[in-house]
Amino acid sequence: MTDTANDIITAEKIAWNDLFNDATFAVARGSITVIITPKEEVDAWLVRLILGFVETDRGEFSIFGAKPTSLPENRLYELRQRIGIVYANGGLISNLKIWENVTLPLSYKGRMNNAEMETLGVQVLKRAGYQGKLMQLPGHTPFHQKKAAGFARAMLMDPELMVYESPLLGLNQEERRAFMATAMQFHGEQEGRTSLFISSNPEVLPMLKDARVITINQGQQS
Amino acid sequence: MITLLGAWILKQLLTGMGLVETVTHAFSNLLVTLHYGRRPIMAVLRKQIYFTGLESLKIIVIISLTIGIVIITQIISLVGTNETLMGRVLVWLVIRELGPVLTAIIVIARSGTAIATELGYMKINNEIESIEALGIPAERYLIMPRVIGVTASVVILTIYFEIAAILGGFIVASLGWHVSFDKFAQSIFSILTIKELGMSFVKSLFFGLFLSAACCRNGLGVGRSATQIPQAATKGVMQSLFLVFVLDGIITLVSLL
Repeated sequence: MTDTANDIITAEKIAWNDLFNDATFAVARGSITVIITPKEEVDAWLVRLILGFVETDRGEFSIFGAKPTSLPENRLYELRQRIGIVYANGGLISNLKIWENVTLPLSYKGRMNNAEMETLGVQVLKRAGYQGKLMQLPGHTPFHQKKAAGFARAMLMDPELMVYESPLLGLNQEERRAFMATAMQFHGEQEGRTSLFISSNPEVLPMLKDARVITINQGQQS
Repeated sequence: MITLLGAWILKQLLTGMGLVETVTHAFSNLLVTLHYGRRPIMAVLRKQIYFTGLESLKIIVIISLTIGIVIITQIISLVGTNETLMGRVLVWLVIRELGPVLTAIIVIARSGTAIATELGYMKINNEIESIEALGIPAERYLIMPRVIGVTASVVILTIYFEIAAILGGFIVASLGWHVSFDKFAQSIFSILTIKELGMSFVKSLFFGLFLSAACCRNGLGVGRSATQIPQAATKGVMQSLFLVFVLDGIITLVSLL
């Protein structure tokens, strides 16, 4: 399978612990896909699988045409730079201020000067719904604001694949609506961008009407 | 008994090899950083030098001034006012041994524990994975700047320690026993050679490299439980202290060959 194939993610008969067996699914390039999982811990595990931190117990898993865990280190880091992850808890680094967290991937790539980064960073934070202080540590920030900062960081990476882990977790109805609306808008901004929502909460489905739904039940997949 | 001793030696050798690997990776990552990811990594390096170097300076200067005062007072109480001996003992004790060793011990107590705890906390909170998920190698972003920053700080703090200890010695000799600056300086410079300074530099360099590597490795060695964080900090400190004394012995022996 090559990187130009239509499916960005393919999983064939993958299994993990006793939580699911023989799950087979594919995520098409440019699509909006929702994976409904049996438990929240499966959401986190699938994210780690996509990023190449863990392997399946059985079966074959590939992303961008490659098995992430078998990639050489440099290529694995290149692959990760093509994926934006919005973690359930924001996934922020506790010893970096919100602003440093959000601009870390941009600053690491070093393709923008400080002024450009500042303009873009402030814009994206506003768009993600972040309303707190920029120069405070994540420890002092409310949960939903951490999530917003993590969302802004992922958007700033301008990824080909955007993965949302437990997107509704910790958000009230209004925040959920705003979050999903921004996610949909971001999806449509670049042709070929893929959005993958991984959630154990089926309440996500009415918010993603045109999405392809994959359900992984405990022990099997449908 | 022999089997146990063999197992212990083997374990120490493996730990030593792991530390050498961490140090060599830090240097290779430093070269890569010149081309890629320089801005955020240099920010971590600057923070590390600030916390380890600048914030420790006050305590290092106070301790070293006191050490200088104690050494000179002891010499005078033992042999009376002997300027030549004062200089010799200060160089032998402070430049050759106490400067690098005590500076390293203070840095271990202050920054070594902080590094091991911070990295351990980041590990159990999945923050290391979050960094790697952004396509940033954690070893390059977290370990390299800490190893280089702590090492640079230990080398520079050792210089401050030695200058302040000699100054403390001179202050007490001058105020208490009216020793002139000329005589005191002459007694120091008559014995102080490039070899003494070089040995002090080499010791502080190796202490800095290995103590930071030991604390980083122990911090990253934390598993999934918060109770492992203090254990990692304690282990990091003990391993660093052990390394400082072993390296001190090795470097001193090698310098005599």
